[in-house]
Amino acid sequence: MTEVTRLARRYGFFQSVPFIEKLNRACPLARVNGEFSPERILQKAQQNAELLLSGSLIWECLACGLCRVVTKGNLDMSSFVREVRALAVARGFFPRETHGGMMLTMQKMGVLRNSIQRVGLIEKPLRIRRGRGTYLYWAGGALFYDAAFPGLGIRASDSVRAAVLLLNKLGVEPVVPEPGWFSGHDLLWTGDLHGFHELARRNMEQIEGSGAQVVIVSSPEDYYTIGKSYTELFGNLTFRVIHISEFIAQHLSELSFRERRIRLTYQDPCRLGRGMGVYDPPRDILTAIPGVELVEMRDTKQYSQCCGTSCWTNCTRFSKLMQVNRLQEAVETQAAALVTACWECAIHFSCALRPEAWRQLDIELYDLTTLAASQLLE
Amino acid sequence: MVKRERQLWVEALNEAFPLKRIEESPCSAACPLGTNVKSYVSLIAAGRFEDALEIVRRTNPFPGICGRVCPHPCEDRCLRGEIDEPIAIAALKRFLADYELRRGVIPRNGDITLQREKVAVIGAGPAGLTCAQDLARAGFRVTVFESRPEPGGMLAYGIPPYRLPRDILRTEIAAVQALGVDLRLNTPVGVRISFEEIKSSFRAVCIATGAMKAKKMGIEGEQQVKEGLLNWVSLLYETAAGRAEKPGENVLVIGGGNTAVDCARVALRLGSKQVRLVYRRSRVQMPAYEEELEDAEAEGVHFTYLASPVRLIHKDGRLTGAEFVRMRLAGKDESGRRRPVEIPGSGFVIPCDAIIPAVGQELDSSFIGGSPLLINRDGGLLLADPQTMATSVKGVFAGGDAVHGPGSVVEAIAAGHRAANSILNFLTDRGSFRMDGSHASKAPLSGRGSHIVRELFIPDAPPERVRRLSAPRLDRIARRRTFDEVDTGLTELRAVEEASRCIRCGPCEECSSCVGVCEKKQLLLVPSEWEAISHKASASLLPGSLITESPLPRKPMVGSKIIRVPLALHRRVASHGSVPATDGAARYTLSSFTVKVNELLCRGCGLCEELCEYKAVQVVYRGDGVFSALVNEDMCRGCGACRSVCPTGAIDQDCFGEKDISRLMDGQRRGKKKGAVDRLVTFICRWASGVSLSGRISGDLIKVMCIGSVMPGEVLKAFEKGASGVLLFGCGEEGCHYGFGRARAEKNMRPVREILTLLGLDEHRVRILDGSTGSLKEARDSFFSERAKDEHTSSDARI
Repeated sequence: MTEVTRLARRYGFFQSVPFIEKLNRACPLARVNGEFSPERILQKAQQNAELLLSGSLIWECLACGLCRVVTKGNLDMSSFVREVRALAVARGFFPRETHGGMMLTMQKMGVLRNSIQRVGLIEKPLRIRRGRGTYLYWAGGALFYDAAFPGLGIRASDSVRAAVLLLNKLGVEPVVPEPGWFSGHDLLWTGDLHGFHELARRNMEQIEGSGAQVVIVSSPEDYYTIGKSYTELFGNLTFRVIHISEFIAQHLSELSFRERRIRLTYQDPCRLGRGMGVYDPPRDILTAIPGVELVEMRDTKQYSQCCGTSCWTNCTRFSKLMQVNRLQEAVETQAAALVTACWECAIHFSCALRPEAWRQLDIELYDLTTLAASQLLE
Repeated sequence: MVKRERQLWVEALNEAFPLKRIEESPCSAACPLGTNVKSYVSLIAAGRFEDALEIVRRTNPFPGICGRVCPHPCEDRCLRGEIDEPIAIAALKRFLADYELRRGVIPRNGDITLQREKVAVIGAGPAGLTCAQDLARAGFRVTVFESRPEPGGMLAYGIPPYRLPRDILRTEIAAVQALGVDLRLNTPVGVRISFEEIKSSFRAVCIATGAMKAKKMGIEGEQQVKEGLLNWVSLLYETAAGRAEKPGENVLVIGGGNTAVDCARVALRLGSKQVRLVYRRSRVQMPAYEEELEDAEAEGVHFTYLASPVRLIHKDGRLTGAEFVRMRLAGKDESGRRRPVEIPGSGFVIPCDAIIPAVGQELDSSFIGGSPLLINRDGGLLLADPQTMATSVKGVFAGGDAVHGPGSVVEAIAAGHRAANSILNFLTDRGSFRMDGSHASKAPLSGRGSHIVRELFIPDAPPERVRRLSAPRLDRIARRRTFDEVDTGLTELRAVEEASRCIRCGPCEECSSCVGVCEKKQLLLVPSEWEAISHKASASLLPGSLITESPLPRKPMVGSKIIRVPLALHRRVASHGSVPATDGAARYTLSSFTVKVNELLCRGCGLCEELCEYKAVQVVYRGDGVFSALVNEDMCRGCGACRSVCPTGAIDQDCFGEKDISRLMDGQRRGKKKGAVDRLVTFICRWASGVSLSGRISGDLIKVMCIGSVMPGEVLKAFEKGASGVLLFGCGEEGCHYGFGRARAEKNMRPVREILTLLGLDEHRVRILDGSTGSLKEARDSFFSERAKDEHTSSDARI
């Protein structure tokens, strides 16, 4: 029995065959790509594990976690794929990286990074604490995103500044490590365990060194990784991890927003929603803005559809189809804008709205935190 | 597709449409204007709407109008109709005009050299305005005299707004005015200004008054009826002006032309309960367009065929009915239609309270006044030479309905062109000058994406049967009560899909797109009346042919080298992608250095299209919501700049592409030995390497087509794999084979430098140098010496 087959057995896949039909129908990728289905992954795991390792199936899976929801936890294809990917990488099989490998490479290089240095991410009048403090705000790879995707409508560093502004309003002056680092989510999910462990270790040193008791995170992937994967790696953490939307939603009564008459719809990022179970706080923030009418898309909350690509690998015409379908859903709600709490979702959706000449979908993209901060009453 | 099958299809295609024998595409041949239909349909299929519109404009100043009301003889001749259904050419033309109206694109008028001569045009209908436009474009000062308050002639007064919305008409006429044409409305010649006066103050006169006087039926009672007998001219005009009242409850329309059908449909819309159209021949002989008849039927117009009115019945001058006789069809008359003959004793009465005779139009020749020099024919029309449009008076020309009797709008436009052409000949004394719509018509297209992509392809398989796409129409019940346009027009996607059905029969489109983009001006269009211009390729050119292969021999490569091969072999490489070859000792694969698109990976984001300096890449719609890039191999020069921005890695080169680069990169040692010097990875332009690779060079050298093709990710990877610096060595602005290599590389390296800074590394670890400052060896040496200096002074981290 191969390692992969053993893994499939451990995940209870062979007892879960009755669920596979349902999963095939629900899998967002299988719906647009006839060549892909969770069933094929399962079959390969059972019959030809070698082909599963060397082939592209495991890299095509978005690991969006919808499988867990539709099979009521019986088939966790995402976690299985994550582990198989690590086996594949160990055997010398790699995914097809997007953007010439820029995004994954810079995360790997984060291990080699220099000591903390100021790059002007947060400047006055925003207030942050130098050195140690109770709260730490994790800016993630915001500046790296901005450097890599200069021409996009949404700037991740704006979202970071918006988050600090909101925290300041609530009387919180967080420690903000600059320039901000990736948590290692993409390394973990593309099978680079060594890189992930190194990066996680350095990040933990940094967080623990700040004496923080609460770590507030903006990127859903970082939230999931620090909140869940770091716990799996290091055991119980000495600090509490919370998403910025949860933190703000808890203190909504202390904030007042300007009116904005607009119809919005919200995209649940996979890692924030299905990953960490955060569905309502972002919606609470949106509905707290007077005049905002929040409408839901056809597939929402735990059934929300993925933005089409993950971990900066395997972007294809099917990714685009998924994105266009999702944007179409948003357009059908007659919302003026699609709000998301994830910078990657924003990057992928903005790309799907290109090129302008062919643009058929008339919808704007907003970042949740930036929107909330821009509506704050002085 | 199986090769054999493809071969059969190509053979069948050649047999069905032998290119050499077809002088012109059937659609263009059928068009009275000779519009280059295939060309603009192809451009629509490629999503190049502005360029397509430019093609239409060359012969047709009124695309929005013709797209709506032209009887489209082109569609009747369309060869696609023999497979399934003809291409919806009129709807596509209309789409272009609507597209422009939505986008607000200003028509390109080109340079106009002003002339001294003044020309007068009488009548602002389609013929008159076309003539005015052509002359204005040629630089003459044109004044148009129009007796009515609104320009457009029959377009404004004879076609109801549900077929031709007034804003479309006004926009297209405004474009003619924008050329400097002086349009004098409310100026009836013969009343406000005499014909003789015009003749003496203008060098040439074009009479294009149209035939807009309603003919009388000439039957008993026509003089006595005071109420209920309507004139179609005033009915349609009042309708267009929004002032018309209901003609009656029970309306009869006499006639079988489009005007009669329009009157019937207008009467319904004005609230008449019952409308009946009576025609003396049968339906087959009706001159009205079939679509119009179907629409009228759907809306509830009743038809009575083979009946002719003989008497109007009235009571104290108020119409109460009309008496008709039955007709039968006898032998053909001079118009080629069967002649109606009265059946004696078959009289019958149809009661009605209004009757609209639409039995014909004639010229209102009162404006000529006492001028004896114009000869009237018995039909009441002006007499003019059918070719030159010259009348018997020197300097006076005439065209359109005023000469030929009622015709279609496209015939009127053609007449306008012909008259303008003759006037030009008259004014410039040039007997041989031909004007085919526009002076500047052979100027190359400019603007976004001026290149042909799809036209050069022979489809892989016989086309599948696909029904033509029509635009959504207003509900037939709803439209009975509104003057809104019935046809709502094609959307962009539907237009592209419909245009893609065109099988492009006939020869080269002569759209001249290729001329504008051929950098070395070696790709030249050679229309039949021109001299062959290409100094290199003229010998092998036949008149009327287009060189689709660049005469420059392209250079496929062996391994990482570029070699010259015979043209025939080169063509094989181009058509097969790659071919195996041997020089006796070693085996190679020859492949072209143009970029290739992996359609599965391409997400049609268009970054490559925006960036390509040669306009060789274009995003096209592939159906089913999928867009992807398409490379025109004839235009691609292999710089690879597009691969540097492709987010998915879909676009790449066979040689010096991702495969080569990653192979070379993996060859680098990870990390570095203790005590070893810094390692520098150099991406070197293959064009630069010929002159600059002097001296022995140690370290990692990666050849690329151009430093502008290096991806930011590849440079970062070099660092990740242990390089302490990356050098992009190109040719410098002066010597760059492509001209933009350095600028592109600088742009691509911007994110890399930012990321290096964020990682606490010196951004100068990435350098872009070129042969103008010294050889590669010198560049590398200076890098190492500066690095050594930096290490003592900067806080830059060591990798």
